[in-house]
Amino acid sequence: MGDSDADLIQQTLAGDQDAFGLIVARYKKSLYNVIYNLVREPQEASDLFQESFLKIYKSLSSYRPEYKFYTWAVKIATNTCLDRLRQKRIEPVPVEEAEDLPGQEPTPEESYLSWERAARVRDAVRRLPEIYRTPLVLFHQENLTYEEIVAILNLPLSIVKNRLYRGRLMLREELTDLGKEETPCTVGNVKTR
Amino acid sequence: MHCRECQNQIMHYFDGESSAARQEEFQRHLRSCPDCNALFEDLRGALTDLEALPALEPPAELEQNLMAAIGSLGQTPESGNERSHFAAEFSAIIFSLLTAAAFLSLNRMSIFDLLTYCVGSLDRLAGITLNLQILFRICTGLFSGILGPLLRNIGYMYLAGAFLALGAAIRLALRKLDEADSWPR
Repeated sequence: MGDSDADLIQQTLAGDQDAFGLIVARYKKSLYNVIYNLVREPQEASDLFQESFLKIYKSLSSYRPEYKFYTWAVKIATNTCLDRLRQKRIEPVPVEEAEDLPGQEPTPEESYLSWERAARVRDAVRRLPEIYRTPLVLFHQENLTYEEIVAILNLPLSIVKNRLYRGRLMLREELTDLGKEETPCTVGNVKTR
Repeated sequence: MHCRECQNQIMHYFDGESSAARQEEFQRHLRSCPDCNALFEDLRGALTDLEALPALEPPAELEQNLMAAIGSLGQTPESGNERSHFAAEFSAIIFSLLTAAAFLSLNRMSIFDLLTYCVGSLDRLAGITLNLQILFRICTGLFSGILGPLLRNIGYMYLAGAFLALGAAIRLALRKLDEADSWPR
């Protein structure tokens, strides 16, 4: 069921805005999460969501079907976020405020990961410098490949790997620091590719 | 296996790039090295938690606001870049053809060369890759280079060739620009 991304893009380019509405419906959750995970600030995430999708809409004619649409859209969203972060130097939101974010109420899926621990992990990621947080989010939360991350960030593979390597170590340190007075992380089965 | 090597293997493991043989070797090291084992378990816990974070639902009004903003644009997505690049590339082809034709008429070059230029200029439309175009030009250049001295002034051939190379360079640059535009910042 449903048209392919390429079909919807063609229909949009032909003037059918409803077709773009279907693209938005298809990717809104994924892109919102990419954006939110990068800026970690709900109002900023909402603004950047709109800005990113407007950019996607306006530059739709330059999209080439040989690239995966999602990767192309993530690149636009990521660059929009990074530009904003660098312009405004967005300060991380304290974890107490982060707990009040819309859509962050504990869900059934969180039965595995306790609400407190989820907040702790989000806070640890939020504390990482942007250059380490971005590859970490793209690789471990968005499940993008190295090849896709290289294309998105316009960086050599060696630098992406190095930043991901350091980002993981920094996340571990942050979680260790944050969790000293709490229960230690349980060991699960991390996804490997 | 040394600790440093093991730490690299740990990262390969989380990259999903570790071979079975290497994994077995580094698992053996983990059993004998408490420090590396602690690093591995900490990372596994942290990354498991990170990957288990539930996806957030975007606020409901975001989509409506976005579509309203798009509706207020009152236009279809821009295709200006594509059009301007096509126009520039088309102009480059015409310029190249006219220049080559001028040299041909001035120096009584053969119809064979004219065909070479025409095919070379039209091949983009036929979707031939740039590498094939270059190969084609080298082949036709060699062929006409052998017959050339019998028919015409070689110096002008090189000059016409330089124009073709310039055309190819412009087209390559435009393609790169097109490619860059498909990954906008």
